[in-house]
Amino acid sequence: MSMFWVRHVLILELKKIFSYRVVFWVQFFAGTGCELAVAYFVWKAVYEVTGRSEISGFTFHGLVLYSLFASFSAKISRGTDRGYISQEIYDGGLTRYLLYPLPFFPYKYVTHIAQQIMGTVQLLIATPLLLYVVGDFGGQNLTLGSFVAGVLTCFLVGYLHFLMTSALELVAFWQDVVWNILVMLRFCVGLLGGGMIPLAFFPSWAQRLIQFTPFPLLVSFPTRTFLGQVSLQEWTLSLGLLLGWSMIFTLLVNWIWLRGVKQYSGVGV
Amino acid sequence: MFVLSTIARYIRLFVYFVAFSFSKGFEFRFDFYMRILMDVLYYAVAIGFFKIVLMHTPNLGGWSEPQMMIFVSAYCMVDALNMTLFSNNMWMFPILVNRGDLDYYLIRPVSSLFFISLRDFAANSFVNLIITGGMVTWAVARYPEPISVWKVSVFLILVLNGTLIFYCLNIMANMLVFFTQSAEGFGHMVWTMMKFGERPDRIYTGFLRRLVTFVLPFALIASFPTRLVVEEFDWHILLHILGVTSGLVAVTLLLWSRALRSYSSASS
Repeated sequence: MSMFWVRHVLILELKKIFSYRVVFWVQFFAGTGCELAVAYFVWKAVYEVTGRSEISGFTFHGLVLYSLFASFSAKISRGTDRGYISQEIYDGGLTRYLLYPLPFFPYKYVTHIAQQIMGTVQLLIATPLLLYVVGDFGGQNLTLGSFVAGVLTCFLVGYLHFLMTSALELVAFWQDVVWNILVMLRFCVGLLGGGMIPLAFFPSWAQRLIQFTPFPLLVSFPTRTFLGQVSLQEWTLSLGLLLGWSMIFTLLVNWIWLRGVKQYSGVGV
Repeated sequence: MFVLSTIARYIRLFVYFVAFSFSKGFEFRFDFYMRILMDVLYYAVAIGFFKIVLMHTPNLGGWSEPQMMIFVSAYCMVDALNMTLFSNNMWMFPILVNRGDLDYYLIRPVSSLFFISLRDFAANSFVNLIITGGMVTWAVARYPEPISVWKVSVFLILVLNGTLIFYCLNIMANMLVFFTQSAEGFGHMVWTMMKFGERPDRIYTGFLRRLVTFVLPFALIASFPTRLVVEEFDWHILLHILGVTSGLVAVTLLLWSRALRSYSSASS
């Protein structure tokens, strides 16, 4: 099948994101500013009380940088997770994808990539701003190379996130409302993925347990890549794990999809 | 007499909303149970976050672990109240404006703000309200020092007040859709900014402190009420909360009437 449509879908999706420019930029600046401000003041209070210059391998500025990259790693990897697949099933819009010569999942994945691109653009704006405010790298090995590797990792990790979200969204074949499952995924990714606190802060038994889940791959892995904490060997190993989890979720999504489509009525609400 | 009968009419109307929402809630059983689970997970994440942070520091913002648990239970209760009373309505509000469906609310013989804000009562989140009630009881019961009944009563009233503050901030942010016409609104922004209220207020300094205690008073939602319980009672804090809340409600009502004047009824 020709891949001619990919460029068009990507451009259309980007235009859609920008159709409400004020909303987009206000949400970006207020959202990012708020998250960073909260992280800054929480960690500042912690370091002031303890009087320590380093906790679990992080200086204060290092943790502020971690918060920035964790926030954007989560944002870039999750791309679209607002129920766009479940909504198609719910209102019968899925029918057109079954009829048109357009593959459903690749189409949705391209829209996901468009959101990832926007997240990357925002990161490119936020990083120099934060570095200007903080004034140093907080002892982290952040370089141009690690930054590029971090962005690449986010895009690769985004595929796993897309699959995990899709598996949950396809529950819409049987249930009318699934948004709350997606929110639960966000909570799990936030805490267990290292989005709220670096996993190094967790008790060691919890760190060992979390390694058996895909969550650290979604936020902690790209964030640590940005900060230059991941060696080439660890990066390759983590990519292998990512591949493994992606295969599991591809099979799962296929399995749910085949069963769901069979009983899809096409009647929208 | 007229005022009393009006209040009675609104209470009757709210009871109808609740009854209707419960029957609707049980219609979507999966959603009913999943939403309960979702909120329980939110509470678990909130507790987990502070437990982990407090493993590395003896206190945060001057509060030890038992004090922090009272604070967490307070903002979880505000969240449960908000999810029960307002959240469904706030999510739908930008869509109503965007599609021009607000017309149906404006022509009814009741306050449009009341109708839009409280029509969809979330029966499933009501269960979470009971759970957060349990959390407050647990946090107060395990507190190493005795807390008097009147302090707990003031605390619970101020938690209700915190819900009102969050509602005002949420609807004011959503009112911006009258000007932007976006169906998405700015509700997400308020949820993100609520993070200011989910941390003890003493960690904030300078301009940000003034912002979250006066202009966007997220710190008054749960942090200030907690201070009244776990620290020596300070009348200044109580007066501060009441003063800022009154101002916020007045601004909300004023902005609502202004925003309605900008409403074009045009759908998009």
